[in-house]
Amino acid sequence: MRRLRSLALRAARLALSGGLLGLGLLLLAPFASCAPSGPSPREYVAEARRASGEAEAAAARGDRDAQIAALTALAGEEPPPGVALDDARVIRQDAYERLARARHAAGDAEGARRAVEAGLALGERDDLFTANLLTTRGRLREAAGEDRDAAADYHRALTIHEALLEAALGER
Amino acid sequence: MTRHDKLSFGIASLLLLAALGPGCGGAAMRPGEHVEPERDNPVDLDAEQVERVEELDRALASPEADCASACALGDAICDLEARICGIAQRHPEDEATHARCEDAGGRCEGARSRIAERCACDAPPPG
Repeated sequence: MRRLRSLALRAARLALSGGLLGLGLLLLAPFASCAPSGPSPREYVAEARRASGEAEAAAARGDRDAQIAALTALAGEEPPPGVALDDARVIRQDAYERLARARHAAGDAEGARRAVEAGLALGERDDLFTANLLTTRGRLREAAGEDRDAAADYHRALTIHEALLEAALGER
Repeated sequence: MTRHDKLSFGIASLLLLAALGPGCGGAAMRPGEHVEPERDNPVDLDAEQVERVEELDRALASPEADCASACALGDAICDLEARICGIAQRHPEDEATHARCEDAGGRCEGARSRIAERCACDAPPPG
């Protein structure tokens, strides 16, 4: 059962990427009730879900400022005790990656770079969240004319995707 | 939502539901409930154990591919390869980027052929 829970959490982290944060958090929410320290983790998850949904709704109505504000709050929120560090990392990295894209779309290249660096500073792993951050940093670097560094980021992201592919095909 | 966005969402939901089934404490079985009577014949138990181990071996030997994820990851790999090689084309003097392009090309091709052995992916969207 422990292995199954571990697999479930890993799969949930995969599912959290690319705008699926809201639904992913919905799935993770019951785990918060397993924490021994009471309602704090639950509140964190609820707040993260609310902020993620608010960002998506703002993007849908074209309100870039509100989208950025919601993602900034979500990315910067420190997790309370009781939330596993790796779970908090993927929630915040997903938010930072979306924040970087939103800021870039708003013309704030520097702000986008700060967001992507902050996301990577939370820890690089061979998972989809790190790969997404590296891909986005590659795009920002390429847009800034830093082609060689961009190619390095793309290549690192590619090797992570390749490792994930091996797992998806059951090769390891 | 792109195919990449959908990555593993279905399997994530199923695994989470399966993991949450017994609840946080785990104890779903109530006293007095048994799926079948306890057996105490060691010969029967041995035979059952051998059968279960063989089942496990078969399952581990041919794990089912997660084709939705594999197809999305294959697209991502080859998209990144195209980006790297686009940069290499713009910088013919940059040997490091050319080496990355060549390496990425092999990985993209390898990914496509490995995926094709196990999965039938839709054609990637144009552009």
